[in-house]
Amino acid sequence: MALLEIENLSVDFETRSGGLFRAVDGVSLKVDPREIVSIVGESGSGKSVAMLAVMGLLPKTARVTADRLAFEGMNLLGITPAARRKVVGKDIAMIFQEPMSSLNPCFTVGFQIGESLAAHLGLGRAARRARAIELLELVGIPSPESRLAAFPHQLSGGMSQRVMIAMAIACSPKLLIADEPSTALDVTIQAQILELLVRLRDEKDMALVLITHDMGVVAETAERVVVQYASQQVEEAKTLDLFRDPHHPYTAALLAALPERATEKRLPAIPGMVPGQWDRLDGCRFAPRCAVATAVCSTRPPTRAAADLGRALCHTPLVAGRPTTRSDVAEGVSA
Amino acid sequence: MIPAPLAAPSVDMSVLEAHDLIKTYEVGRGFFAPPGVVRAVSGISLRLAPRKTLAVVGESGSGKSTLGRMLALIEPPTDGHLSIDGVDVTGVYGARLKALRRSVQMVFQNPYGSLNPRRTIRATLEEPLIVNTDLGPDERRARALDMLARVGLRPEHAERYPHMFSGGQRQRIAIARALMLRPKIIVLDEPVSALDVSVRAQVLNLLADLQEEFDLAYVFVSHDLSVVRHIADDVMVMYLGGVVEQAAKEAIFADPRHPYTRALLSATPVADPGRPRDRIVLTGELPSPFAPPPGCSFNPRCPIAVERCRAEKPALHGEGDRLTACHLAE
Repeated sequence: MALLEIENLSVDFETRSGGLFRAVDGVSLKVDPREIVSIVGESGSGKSVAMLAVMGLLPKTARVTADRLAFEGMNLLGITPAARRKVVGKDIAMIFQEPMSSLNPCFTVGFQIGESLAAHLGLGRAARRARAIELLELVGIPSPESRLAAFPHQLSGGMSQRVMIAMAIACSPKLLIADEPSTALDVTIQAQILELLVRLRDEKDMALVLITHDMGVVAETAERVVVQYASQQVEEAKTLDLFRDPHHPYTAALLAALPERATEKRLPAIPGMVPGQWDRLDGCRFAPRCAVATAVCSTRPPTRAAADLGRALCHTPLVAGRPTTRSDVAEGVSA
Repeated sequence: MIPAPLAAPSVDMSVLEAHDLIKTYEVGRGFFAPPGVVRAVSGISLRLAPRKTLAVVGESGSGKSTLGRMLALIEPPTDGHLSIDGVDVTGVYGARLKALRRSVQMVFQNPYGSLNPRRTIRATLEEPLIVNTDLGPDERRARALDMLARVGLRPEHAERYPHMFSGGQRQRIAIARALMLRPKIIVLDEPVSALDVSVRAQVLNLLADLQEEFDLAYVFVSHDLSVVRHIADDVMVMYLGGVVEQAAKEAIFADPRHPYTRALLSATPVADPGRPRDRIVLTGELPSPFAPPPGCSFNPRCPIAVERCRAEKPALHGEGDRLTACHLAE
């Protein structure tokens, strides 16, 4: 059974002008136990919001709808906030991008790690302290006993992120959601943190959802990748397949625009920019920037292709870099 | 008047030369403690020719931004010599320094913070002309609109405010502002690290085009090795204020000699899942600049350090332009 099941998840935000802004549009995702899935996309693609919806951490202005949102078979949509809090922080945990601003500056590291241990496991003071030391040791912080009394400002960025990870894994979660865990860190520290996350997955049997914009991190860490563009999921594939043969033109363009894949001085950049709130087209949202767009792309929204085509949200998914006509959609039939 | 762009730059002429640049800061450590001295940059020498790009690579705290600010004449060096276009700028002040500043401009990392939100784009672009030239309003306006077109923005953008632009467009505006005085050197401090991948490629292409068009020399401060590999001609790797390796780009990437350069290269994620991974994961973090370790500054994290590294500081040595500061690099 899948650990996390999301079907057709949408999140709308009420805007000040009275309209609704759809930040996540029809996202589906299944995460199996012990799996590392990466959600990749540019800023504003809705990758963080979808996971915050799973955690129930969105503000009141958000409207979350889904056909199914379940963790270990338990429906997360209809449950009371109190029941949700029993799961969130214990079986599902999350770490955030900015370790410096995610920790509370007023409390010591030891206290903050102890909070979830007291709330979820009901451990006493001595047991909490022992467990906190054990956790800090696990995430690779030298002399953990002395670090318990440290305040966040006394730690470097890499150390703060380790503390965040220690807090997240305190109750041995089955699913860890990491939102850009290494983006704010230096390259050598980033390597340490990614190594740590993969090691914890191996040792602790937890699944990992890695939200990132860095294709390099995806390639080296994830087993499966979901690509998001303008609130929609445009492609989903095994990591190797995605890099070898991307099916959605956006994925292909994104990979081609990476400096390390460039063969010439000029990079094949994607023209234009991500559509804003009000200039999303009726058809495919990537059509204005797409190199292989046809007339139908800007008028009719595409449907999902088959699984072997990465479930690409495209009228003419690419195969070996060339657009193909889909056999599953008959011409003239509206989607 | 604005100096015209260099007509025909000869290859061996350098527009920027630095010898043994040092920058130290005194930092108060509380009321009763004596102030500490931080050596942000210690003894850096470099040369830069027109149309060339020197990439300065390092982690946060390595002194790469301080070096960039010294080269851009924002901060005076504590010691050492810096010459721009053959003119020694150390010890120069007042009107002469102001005149020299025209030939070096800077683009900052965060395009959200480096543009004044209360001024229109045209006012932002005209500001350097008002401060440094005696051009009339019509001429200034014409130049601002011309520069806007060259960085790929439209004339109607001129009267808008920064919040109406995306990150990539803002960085284009910041680049246009840096070019208004037709400088010879531009110091780019992490110019693309705040941008998304698709927009990053656009800005890197723009930088390459402008370099051709205006014969610019770039000092490209970055921590992203995949970008550096794409754009640089020469690379300088910094660690804790000093240079650990300095060479042509091809040499650095094909045959890194300093263990830190090797670790940095192996730690950079590469978008190729089939690639065999032989990552050197460094233990520990950058030491405090208040108390740099004795000997080689990299020795506490170095996987191949020997006794000599803990006692004796290695000098930058090597043949020609291929320099390494390591006892074990042959």
